[in-house]
Amino acid sequence: MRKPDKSRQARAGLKAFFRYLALILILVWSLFPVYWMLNNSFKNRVEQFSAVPTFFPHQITLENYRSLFSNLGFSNVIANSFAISLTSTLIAVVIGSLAAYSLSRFRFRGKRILMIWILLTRIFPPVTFVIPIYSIMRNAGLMNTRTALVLAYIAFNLPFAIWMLVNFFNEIPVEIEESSMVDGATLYQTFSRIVLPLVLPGLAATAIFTFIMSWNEFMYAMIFIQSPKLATVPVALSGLITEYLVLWGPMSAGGIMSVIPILVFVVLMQDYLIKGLTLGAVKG
Amino acid sequence: MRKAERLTYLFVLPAVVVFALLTVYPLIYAIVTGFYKIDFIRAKTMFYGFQNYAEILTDDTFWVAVKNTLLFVVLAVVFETLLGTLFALFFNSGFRFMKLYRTVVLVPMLLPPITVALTWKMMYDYNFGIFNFLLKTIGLSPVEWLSSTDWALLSVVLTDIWQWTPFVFLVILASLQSIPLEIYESAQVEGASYVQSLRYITLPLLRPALALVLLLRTIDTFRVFDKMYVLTGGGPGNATETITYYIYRYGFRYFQTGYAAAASIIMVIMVLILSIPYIKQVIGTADFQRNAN
Repeated sequence: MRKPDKSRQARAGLKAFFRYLALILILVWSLFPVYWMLNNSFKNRVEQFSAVPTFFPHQITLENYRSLFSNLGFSNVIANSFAISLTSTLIAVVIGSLAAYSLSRFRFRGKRILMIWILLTRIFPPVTFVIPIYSIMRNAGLMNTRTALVLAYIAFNLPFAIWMLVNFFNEIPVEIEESSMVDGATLYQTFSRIVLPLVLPGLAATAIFTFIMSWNEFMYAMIFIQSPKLATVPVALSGLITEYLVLWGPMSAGGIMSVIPILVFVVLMQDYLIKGLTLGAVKG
Repeated sequence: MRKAERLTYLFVLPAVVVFALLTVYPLIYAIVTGFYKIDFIRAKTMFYGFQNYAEILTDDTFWVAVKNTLLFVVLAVVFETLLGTLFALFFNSGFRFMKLYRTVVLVPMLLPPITVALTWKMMYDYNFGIFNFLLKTIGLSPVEWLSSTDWALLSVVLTDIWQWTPFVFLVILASLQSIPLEIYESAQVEGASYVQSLRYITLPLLRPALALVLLLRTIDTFRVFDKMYVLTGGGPGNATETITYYIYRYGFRYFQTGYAAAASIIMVIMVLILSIPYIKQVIGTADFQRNAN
């Protein structure tokens, strides 16, 4: 009796060992590139270009961050990205929640066409719109302004926002609203006082999602904005690669700066964010 | 018109205005522009009919871009789906601190693609990169990850796999967790092995989620641009030039707006063909509304 027991124990132990080994491999795979950037951002120039890469900076230096902010004007760049992302997010979420509420609750003429169009804008490649929107912005005198980017981002985030929000609205039982309407509240009152508070977590998740998409966007930002003073974070970062040299140190520091707001959101809102990311996918 | 109905229209109106001005109108604009030959530098415009389309479809570099894009899509989507599903199956077997690990695994997909590309560019560097260091350590010769025609596209694909496997992982994990445990329990009672329940219970139930993930990833990888821009600049030669890159080059480096617009319409048609099943499914099933009222 003892022998098979022992071998079963050994097998269980081996299984646990391989499970944790696999877990560690997955976590290393997921984190290593970010860790590597963080590591390089604190290295001085000599250590960055040593033949044997170091896994921890032997001499921690802040010179990369200093040159990023004092020589490369990165505080300005971060401010631009925040201004553009926040404005476009705010507008997209307001417009999107109104539309999503209607789509979730009512039948109306043209609904099907609207729904199909929302789906199609999700499918169309962004490059298709870059040429016409470029011309529109130029004719409107908006070329090389942050407004142009805000408008473009609203257009692209709105379908996502509506899609996510419809799912969140669908989770709220209609009965609550019906009883409020029976009590004599208008549709607007019902929406603002009863539905909106209930859907607030969903709104927050949608807002964060739209913010991240605007914060990360590159192609439009690169094409619509020419002056470095108005550049966003991804554009400024890509500008650190020139044909003759790559500023690895400041680039790593800038990369870390670009990641921080996202990590903050992930830590604060992980449950809702995950729900928002998978909602449409699991149900639709 | 009932008052409530009028309000409904008022609610969707802002969204409709945004769509009309910033997506419907631009799309029409792009279609029309595609029929003109526009030369910004010489400030000349003339009607060109289908000439742009004819020139694009007989341009060898366009077909190279198509080939690169399709190769990229197939490799990235297949490996992202395989790896993401494996991760999800593994995590679904239950872990302490599962939620924390799940959050860690999903981080790459939320990062700016430019930042991701820059980090990988650093790791791919021929002289100072970690990959070549590791190769040299185990006695192999270093690889020109980004500047050899054999490796460049694969290197960009690997970066995309790193960033987007989490999306597959997340969707499949959510789908796995919605499968009731009782099914597995009764299968176990019947004496089914792990592989059998995976084959006959899990995979069939995952099919809708897998199909959706495949389609969404196909649509998204088809437009890839940022990573090429940073990692390879479309090179070496045009070994990593994708369709989006091709359009960008003609539209914003050579300023042949009409030609670029026509190419972008061709791209739209390709994407629409690729996503027919998706469109059908969404239009067929989701009424966008839970309760009919």
